[in-house]
Amino acid sequence: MAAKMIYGEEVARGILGAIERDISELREKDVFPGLATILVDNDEPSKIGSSMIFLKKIETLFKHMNVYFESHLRPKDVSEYELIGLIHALNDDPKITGILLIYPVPDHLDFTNTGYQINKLKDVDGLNWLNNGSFVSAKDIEEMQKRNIVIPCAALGILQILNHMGITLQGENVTIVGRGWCARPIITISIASDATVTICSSKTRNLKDETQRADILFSVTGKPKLITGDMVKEGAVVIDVGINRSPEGKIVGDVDFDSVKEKASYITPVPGGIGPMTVTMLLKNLIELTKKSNQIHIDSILYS
Amino acid sequence: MAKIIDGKKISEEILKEVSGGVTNLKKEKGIVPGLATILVGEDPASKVYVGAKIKACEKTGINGIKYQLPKDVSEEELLKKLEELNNDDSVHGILVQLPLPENINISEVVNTISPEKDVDGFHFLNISQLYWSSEADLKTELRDTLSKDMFKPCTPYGIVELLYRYNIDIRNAAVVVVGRSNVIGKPIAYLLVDKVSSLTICHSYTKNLFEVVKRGDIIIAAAGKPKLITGDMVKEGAVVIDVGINRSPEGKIVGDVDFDSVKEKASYITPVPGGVGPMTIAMLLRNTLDSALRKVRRLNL
Repeated sequence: MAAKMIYGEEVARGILGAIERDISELREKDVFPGLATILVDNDEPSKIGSSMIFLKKIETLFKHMNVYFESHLRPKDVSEYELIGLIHALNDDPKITGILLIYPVPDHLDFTNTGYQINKLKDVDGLNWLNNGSFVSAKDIEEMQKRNIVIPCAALGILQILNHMGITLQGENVTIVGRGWCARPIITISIASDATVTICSSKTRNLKDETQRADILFSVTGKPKLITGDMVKEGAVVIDVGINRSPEGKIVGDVDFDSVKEKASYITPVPGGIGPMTVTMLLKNLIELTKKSNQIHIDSILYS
Repeated sequence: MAKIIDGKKISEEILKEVSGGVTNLKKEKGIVPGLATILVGEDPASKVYVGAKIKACEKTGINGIKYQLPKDVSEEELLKKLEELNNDDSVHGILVQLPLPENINISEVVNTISPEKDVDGFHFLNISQLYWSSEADLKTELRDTLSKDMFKPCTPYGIVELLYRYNIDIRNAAVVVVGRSNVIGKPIAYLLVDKVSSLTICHSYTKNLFEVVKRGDIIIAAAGKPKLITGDMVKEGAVVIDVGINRSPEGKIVGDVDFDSVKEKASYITPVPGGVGPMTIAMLLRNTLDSALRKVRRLNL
């Protein structure tokens, strides 16, 4: 059996229409969304590589949608003090309605502490502690939607894709390989979607046993070809959240696509799978926060 | 036949350690750590819990202060009281006994408590820090509590302390957490997730609870359902931590684990009462002492 492909780009296109309408409605009210991204240079080429790809994607989409965007690059030896100063300036800047601190940052910077400085009304990726605490504490996805809690972009993109494909997590065995920064929000949405959630890492004993049990398998490790066909249950849904650069310079995920697609029922390719949705959700979160800070009513585009 | 994890004994050890810390702090800096507890209404169980916490304060030399508010107190009045305690230099820890009456918004209350005095660990800043925390091992997580400004919620904190003091290997363990409450299931999961081999969270929607639990090397039961975990569900040699506090039809306090059948299979087991319960109070007082020590450090007193 060959798996059906899940193209994030296609799902995103459907949503972009609604976002476009939202943007023009805002313009009529003289309200203009604007995003500032902050990227700190990093010694590890693989890390800075995927951040640069992400940044490029943001720039393309925002240009296409005609939404204001500015990018702040900082050298790898930037101090936490300076970075926080930049965030405070952006918090006070009226043309900026959303701030994204791109992960990862070099080790001498405390990502959490820095992210906490982002004003909660400009916090497009849910890093601020109040937003994050609300996200973690919410009982289910419905509560997150109802209370307009900021869902981190990658996790929100995954929710949108699953919803679009009619894949529900309730009562299913979800296995998440990866437990770092990017994986945690995926853990949270899986628990909130009533799945039985198992979290592993590339170091897990008998990783294959854990992945083989999964009805829905997420990989978020940054290790190319970690997940191979023999690790996947027949008919499983495989979501590849990894963005890595292969030795030949190609962008690849965590999943060995060729062997896994023979076993899975659905699979997300890299590139073109989760990635485009993450960028679209960044825009969606930006629009919702812009509305919120202008006291404009928010209708959720997803589960409405 | 399982060894009993004696939470009562360990909690007394911790209280003794706290007591030593309190004595030193008083001798060297003239500071007595203070814990303010707020009880709203007359719920008998809550009264018992607050009473036990105050009693433990007395044992360790911490100044336990009890505030009793009427059950029809307004949210505004409660928040005002909290602000007052936030500004009170003699108070290092503030605890609002849950549950609260329905007219009061709990997240508003926990987020009004100053995060530096939030010894229950429920302020969203503390929750968020726990959520993102990544420590290489349990020892660093448990022993390096002064260098960072974060409080772990007391029950999950008590559980990891028990695992640590009984030298239970968690690094290679498949951990199964039954229950996903904000007070226990979720924080214990986020606290352990990057320190174990794998971690599974199950709950009322889990279809094959029997099989999931059976795979666990360490099983943490926090579902609030008496006798949910029975001997046939437990792997030979597993470690079983029972966080449940339920009242049986006969009025006895029982856990989520069927102790008699599980103790035949497990290598370690916590009893109820006398397992996790006493640890919760011990960790509360440890957090209160830590709060006072951090303040000394912060202000260079």
